[in-house]
Amino acid sequence: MAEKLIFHYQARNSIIHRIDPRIKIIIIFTISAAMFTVNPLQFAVLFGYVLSGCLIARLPFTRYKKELRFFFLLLVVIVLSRWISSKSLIPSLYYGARFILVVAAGLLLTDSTAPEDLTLALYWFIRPFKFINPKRTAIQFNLTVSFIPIIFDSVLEIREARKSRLDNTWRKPVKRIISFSSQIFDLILQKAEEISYALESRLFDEKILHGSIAFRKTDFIVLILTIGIIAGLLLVR
Amino acid sequence: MSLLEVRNVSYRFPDGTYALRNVSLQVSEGEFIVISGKNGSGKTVFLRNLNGLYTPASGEIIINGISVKDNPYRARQSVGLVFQDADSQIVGQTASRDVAFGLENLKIPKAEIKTRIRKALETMDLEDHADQRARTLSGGEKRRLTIAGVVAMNPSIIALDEPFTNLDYPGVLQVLKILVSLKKTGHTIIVVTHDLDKVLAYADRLVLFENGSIAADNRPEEAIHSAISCGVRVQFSGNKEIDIKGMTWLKN
Ligand SMILES: Nc1ncnc2c1ncn2[C@@H]1O[C@H](COP(=O)(O)OP(=O)(O)O)[C@@H](O)[C@H]1O
Ligand SMILES: [Mg+2]
Repeated sequence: MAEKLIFHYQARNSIIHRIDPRIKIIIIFTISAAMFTVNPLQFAVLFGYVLSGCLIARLPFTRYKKELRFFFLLLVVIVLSRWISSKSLIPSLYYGARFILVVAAGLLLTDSTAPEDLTLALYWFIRPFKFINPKRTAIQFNLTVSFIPIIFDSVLEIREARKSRLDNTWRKPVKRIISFSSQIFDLILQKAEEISYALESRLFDEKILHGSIAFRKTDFIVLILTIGIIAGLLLVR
Repeated sequence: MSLLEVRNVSYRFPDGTYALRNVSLQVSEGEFIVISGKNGSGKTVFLRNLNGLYTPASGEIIINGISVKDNPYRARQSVGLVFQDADSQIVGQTASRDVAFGLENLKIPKAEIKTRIRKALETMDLEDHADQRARTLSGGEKRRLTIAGVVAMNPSIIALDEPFTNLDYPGVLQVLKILVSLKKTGHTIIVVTHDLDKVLAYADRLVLFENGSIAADNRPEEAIHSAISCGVRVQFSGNKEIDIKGMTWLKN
């Protein structure tokens, strides 16, 4: 079956994979916030920091080629529209670089953290806010995350099937899009029904959160190191 | 008393189609039952009635003395259902997390969950894949993972819906080996399949479905004579007696 790999958990045994997801989230937020106050040179250091994280986690960039094309296109659109509206090239490129950093950080988080653990981390952060029903929110988040690959797979499956029957891209586009999307919708509904039966079969209980997370010493070392680097950067300006 | 007792069950879809009509069946502990019949004869619908996913329009299903309708939770604990489509049954991101899913729902203590996962993955020959992303497993490995996820929950009955579909030759052999070892360890097994030549050798009984009813329910030697009229392929070797014991792909 066609398999979409980007923004999917990749089980591997790297330091990054072992860091507690709560720490990862804090680090990513800190870096994203710092990004807007640093000068380009300091930005380059942050960029290098995230990039080395990606390398340590051994993210399979070559396998992402196809999916990354989409983000590249988005990047071009963002930079171009900035350039056109502001009429200055360098700040627009810098803006694009920030976009790359955010995407890379998101990639690093989702690819190195099991969705169940991400769910638990989210739950930990929103637990103090009782009014949003943290547990329900966390479980809905988890189900949504688990469901995304299935939607991707359905779309790819139908696209391949249509292609192999010589479905012509440019003829009657509106009619095509309508029939294509209703077909996708049907398939997704059908799969959703199967999945919910399978979940029920194994006694799915919406009150139970799956996965386990626990802080360890290395987590704090990584956190202190990161905050130290960022604080240092901000001080030497 | 039978472990499973299905009494006069009929099932009707919301659109009015009757998928089961007056089905009755008894299963005793330790039995190995093969259910066959052509596409659309009601086999999948029957399995989904057993653990309360579908509720019969009439009739009754009793497992271990408890009615499925009264206690679907118990029914799901008692009947472990392995779905035909492995992809929709796998919920865990890695193989061991997937096995953990059902066990966590049963609220089993963490330490025991660990032992059960290890044992289930070992039995299914998946211990080397414990931490592999479930969606990247091969078709055969996925099928074995879904069996592991069900067996780990210790159900009284293990029911498998078309467990041989989409498997290559070695994949079929591995599933057969698992079925044989589950049978040896005293499990009660229901296998739905139209490939009788792969598995009938191990069956204590063959049940044939036709148009939502049971057309035959007997020892394989007897029931097999109704197979062809129910749309199930059987290979006859001339006019000779059918060799039931030879109906397996496992040759030793
Ligand atoms: N969701 C549904 N709505 C209406 N009819 C259905 C539905 N699912 C299955 N059926 C019908 O129920 C009958 C039995 O189906 P099923 O048990 O899946 O057959 P099989 O023996 O191939 O497993 C078939 O005639 C099928 O068309
Ligand atoms: Mg079926």
